[in-house]
Amino acid sequence: MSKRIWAQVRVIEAQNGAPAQFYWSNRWNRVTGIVDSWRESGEWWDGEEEKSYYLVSLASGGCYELCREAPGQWVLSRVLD
Amino acid sequence: MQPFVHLHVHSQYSFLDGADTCSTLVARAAECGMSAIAITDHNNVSAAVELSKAAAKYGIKPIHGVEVSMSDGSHLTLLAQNPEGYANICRMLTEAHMSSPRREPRTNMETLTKYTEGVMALSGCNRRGKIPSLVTSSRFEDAKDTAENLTSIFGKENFYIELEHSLAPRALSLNAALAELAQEIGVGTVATNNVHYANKPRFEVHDALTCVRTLTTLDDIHPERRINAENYLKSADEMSELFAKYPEALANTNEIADKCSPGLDLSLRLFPKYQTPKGLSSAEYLVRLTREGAIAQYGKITPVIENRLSHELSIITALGFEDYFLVVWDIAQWAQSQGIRYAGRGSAADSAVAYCLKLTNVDSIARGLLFERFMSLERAQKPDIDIDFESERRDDVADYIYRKYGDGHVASVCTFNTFQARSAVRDFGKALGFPPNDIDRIANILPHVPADAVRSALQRYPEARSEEIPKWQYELLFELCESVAGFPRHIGTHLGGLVISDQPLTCVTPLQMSAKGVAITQFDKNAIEDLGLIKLDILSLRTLSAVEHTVDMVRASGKGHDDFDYNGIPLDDDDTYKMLNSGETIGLFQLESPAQRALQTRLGADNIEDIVASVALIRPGPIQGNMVEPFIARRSGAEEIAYIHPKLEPILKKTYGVVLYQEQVIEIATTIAGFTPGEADRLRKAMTHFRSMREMEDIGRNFVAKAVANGVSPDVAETIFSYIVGYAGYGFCEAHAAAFADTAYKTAYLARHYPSEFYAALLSAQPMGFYPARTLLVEAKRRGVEALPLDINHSKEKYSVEGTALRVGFMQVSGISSDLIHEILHARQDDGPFMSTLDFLCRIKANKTVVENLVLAGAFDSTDPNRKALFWNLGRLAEVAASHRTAIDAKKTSGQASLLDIKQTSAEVRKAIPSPYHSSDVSDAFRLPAAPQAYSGYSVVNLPDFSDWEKFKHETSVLGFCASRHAMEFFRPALMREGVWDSRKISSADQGQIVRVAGLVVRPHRPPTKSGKTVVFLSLEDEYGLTDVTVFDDVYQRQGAAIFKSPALIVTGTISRRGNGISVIAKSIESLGEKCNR
Repeated sequence: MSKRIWAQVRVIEAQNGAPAQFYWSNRWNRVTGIVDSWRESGEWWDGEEEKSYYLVSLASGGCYELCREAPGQWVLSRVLD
Repeated sequence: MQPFVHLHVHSQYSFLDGADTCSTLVARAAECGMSAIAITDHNNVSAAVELSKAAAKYGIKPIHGVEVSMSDGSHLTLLAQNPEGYANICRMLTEAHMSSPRREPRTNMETLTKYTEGVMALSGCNRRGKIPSLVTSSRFEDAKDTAENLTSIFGKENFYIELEHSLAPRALSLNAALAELAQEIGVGTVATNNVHYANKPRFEVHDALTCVRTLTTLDDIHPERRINAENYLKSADEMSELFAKYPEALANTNEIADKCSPGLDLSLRLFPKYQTPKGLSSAEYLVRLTREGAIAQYGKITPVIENRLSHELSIITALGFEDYFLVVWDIAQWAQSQGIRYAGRGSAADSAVAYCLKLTNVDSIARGLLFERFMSLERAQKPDIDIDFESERRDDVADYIYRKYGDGHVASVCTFNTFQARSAVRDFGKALGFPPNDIDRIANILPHVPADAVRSALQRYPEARSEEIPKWQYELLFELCESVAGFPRHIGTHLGGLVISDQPLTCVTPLQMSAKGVAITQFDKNAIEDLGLIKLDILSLRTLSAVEHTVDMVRASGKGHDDFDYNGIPLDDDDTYKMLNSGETIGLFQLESPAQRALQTRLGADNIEDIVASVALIRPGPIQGNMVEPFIARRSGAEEIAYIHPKLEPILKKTYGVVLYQEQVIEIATTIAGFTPGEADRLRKAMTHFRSMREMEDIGRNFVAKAVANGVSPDVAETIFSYIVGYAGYGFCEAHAAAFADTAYKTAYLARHYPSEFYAALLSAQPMGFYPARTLLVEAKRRGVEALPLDINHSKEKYSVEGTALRVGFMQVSGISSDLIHEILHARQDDGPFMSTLDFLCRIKANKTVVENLVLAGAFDSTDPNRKALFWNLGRLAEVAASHRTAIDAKKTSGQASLLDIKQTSAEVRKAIPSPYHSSDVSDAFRLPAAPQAYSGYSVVNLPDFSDWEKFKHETSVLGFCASRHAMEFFRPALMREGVWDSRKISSADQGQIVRVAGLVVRPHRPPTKSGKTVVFLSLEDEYGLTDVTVFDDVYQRQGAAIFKSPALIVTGTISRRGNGISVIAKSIESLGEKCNR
């Protein structure tokens, strides 16, 4: 099961640009693993920018999908059970 | 940096699934410092030659490969390790194409197993590879079985599990599973990026092409569309970063590249050896045939002929092309033995050997033509002998070649249909989701220009501007069109090109079935020669079919021409030249365009040389190069003919001092500058493909230096060179012009002396030439040939001649099949003429639409003259006829009567059925003894016939024209009231007189001009002939939109008389339709 969130979040990036921590539920969440990552070009013909997605796992056990819409602009797109 | 080689790359030959050319991809790989690159297009190796050449240019290793589609739809990547592997891939692809529906080639495991020698396999991309697909579906054991099966087929060393990481969801876990699988079964992994374009920005083009391929729009979701722009040719660093966890997969790309050597050997010669008579080598046999031919052509072999033939034969044999000549000679001989008309064209007519072998009709010795324009030792290019065969028998010739050399050794050469403006607009317009009407609107107004000229064409042509297209909305459309200009869209069949190979063709090219049902190569005419094959151009020329038909009709005319000999037509017939001088050339081969007609009225042609020059003069080059006016002026004596150096006179005398032919450039370079023939031809080629000013200056310096060394003063040498520069790109091959001129003059002779037969034959050979059938019919009538309408009892399959009139043939009827025509003709021959439409329907089982078309075309006018009533009652008549046929069939089945009885009874019954339109008591008349009830209650509806205008419209829709009436006749009374002249009256107008003329628009065209401005030439056709109109840029920009959109125009303009010719210079243009509506 997953829940769509699509809310802007603050993210601390690792050197390779992947999320290292993100602020959600009034706390910083440390990423312990990148489960998957991919890019989407979106509707390029409408001027949409390329987005990077990361499916990350936390030490607490949760799995979160983060989307970098633009440099420094992150969105928490989904939370997975 | 870890070295890396891309081994899974798609080029433009993946048709709509590759967004960059092979050369661009190779250049990008070289730029990235890669040592090799493989091209693996879908089910073809069409990029192989381009890959070899580009790789040589950039100094990297080409690896020839393919991505095959397996019978379950999955993909497998194959790489040729060596030429044997490449040949095996060709064989495998041939089997895949030939055993599957067209455009859906599938390879099965059995085929794969047969052709593994020299072939390596990679497991395929994440999306379509079978193993990754099974892993994705969590069917690990099946994936393992498949991998083990492929390992057993190719061997552990030659099979790799492909890892692809193009940043798509789940790629990380998939690669981990695949790597584990590879380890488990003990095979290597290899990193690929399933490349579909060279650089990231080209993703948009690829995505749009994918929409074109999948018939979707950009807003649609389709599994074939990529989620991101990551399938570009990534650098080694980028690949190393992506595959940091799998160093072995990276290293293996190099290991594989090291194991592979180029699959193509471009030094092969695969042309077959001709089977010569015992004891004779090919060269000896060619010499014998040439000498025999020379005696036949010249009577005896003079020293001049001897020297020329020896010279040519020494070059032919030194270059090893004697078998090629013998093969072509054999084909021509066979055609001649079968009575198939043919004529050689092109630069082969520069060869006296070709003339002696009867491959061409041009006596190159008498014309002083240079053999080196055709072949030279220095150039050492493959010769190209193009032969036109009459179109109706061309396939017979091809069949002969297939029979003689065997199916696997002969194939048609393919062509690649490339994106042009219209096709690109239509394809991308749909992909962008434009409404169909908008797409049609743009595509229909675009001229035939390349796809990257869409934007400029729409700016240039007023008919486009007048549509008020909101161009900003189409910006993306234009960008996409520009990005694929010249890209192959799909594979097709070359019109005449055949290749013959000594070895099975599948050693060097896969074969696949074309839409025409013939086997084609996967290489086009340019690439095919690099493979060591020689293309034979077995062309189809409708003119030759028309000539053959004319000759047949002339001989059968009963006018005492039983032994008419086309080849014996005198080349000095005054009447023919008089006709040419008057510009009456519509329908004549090569001489019928408005520009040619205008030239003829001014040239005053009185010998065949003038016709040769005419063919060469009316070409874009000489027109742009402004060579026409000096030629006419000098020929007529209005301008002095001067030669800057006496050595030029013998070279340029026949063209009055104008450099017109390519052969003349070669001769000037040899005579003035002492160039060798080969050097001179290189000069000719460099100039005709003028690429850079620097190159031209280099050539000029060399020319002047050599000329000065040859005793020519520097000033004169420089002036002569400036002539050649002025000529650059404009000249025409004299041999080709001479070959065409022979046919051109002879068609003129036929038109002059046998107009009924000639125009009947021309109309039968449509579509061909410059004008539609309607215009040819007007021209025939102008020459006094009456046009008889379609008639169910008199028409033949083709157009025919009755006395001095021509009769429209059944072939002209829309929708009619050849089988039905033959059925009608046989029925007429066996049982006599049709007495009525009902009689026709009783005897001929034809589809309803075709019968309706026959009615509307007036085919039954002689038996049932009221077309409207007939059309209305056709359904009922068909029922009556069907019952009649049923009754006859019943009689036949019951055996109640002999066949003769049935035939007689049937005929009597039919005779007893008068035409309902000639009888007042039709209901009784339709009572047949066999089944009287079937016809009870039958009656016809009496209706007034169609009006003349309705008949005209129906005939035009069914036949393409109306034989008895011209459209302009209906407008004539109103036009006369408006003071609009007809074409007959125009011929008596004075120079500069203002006139108004109207007619149907015929072939408006915008040839290139030296100034770059647009000039439109068109003809207005009325019931008496054509009026030529010239529209200059200012008028065109103001009012030109109507020209390409209106079927008929009224043009006001001034009369221009030049020579015997007359034309109207347009001042204003209006649509005839709009005028009438007002």
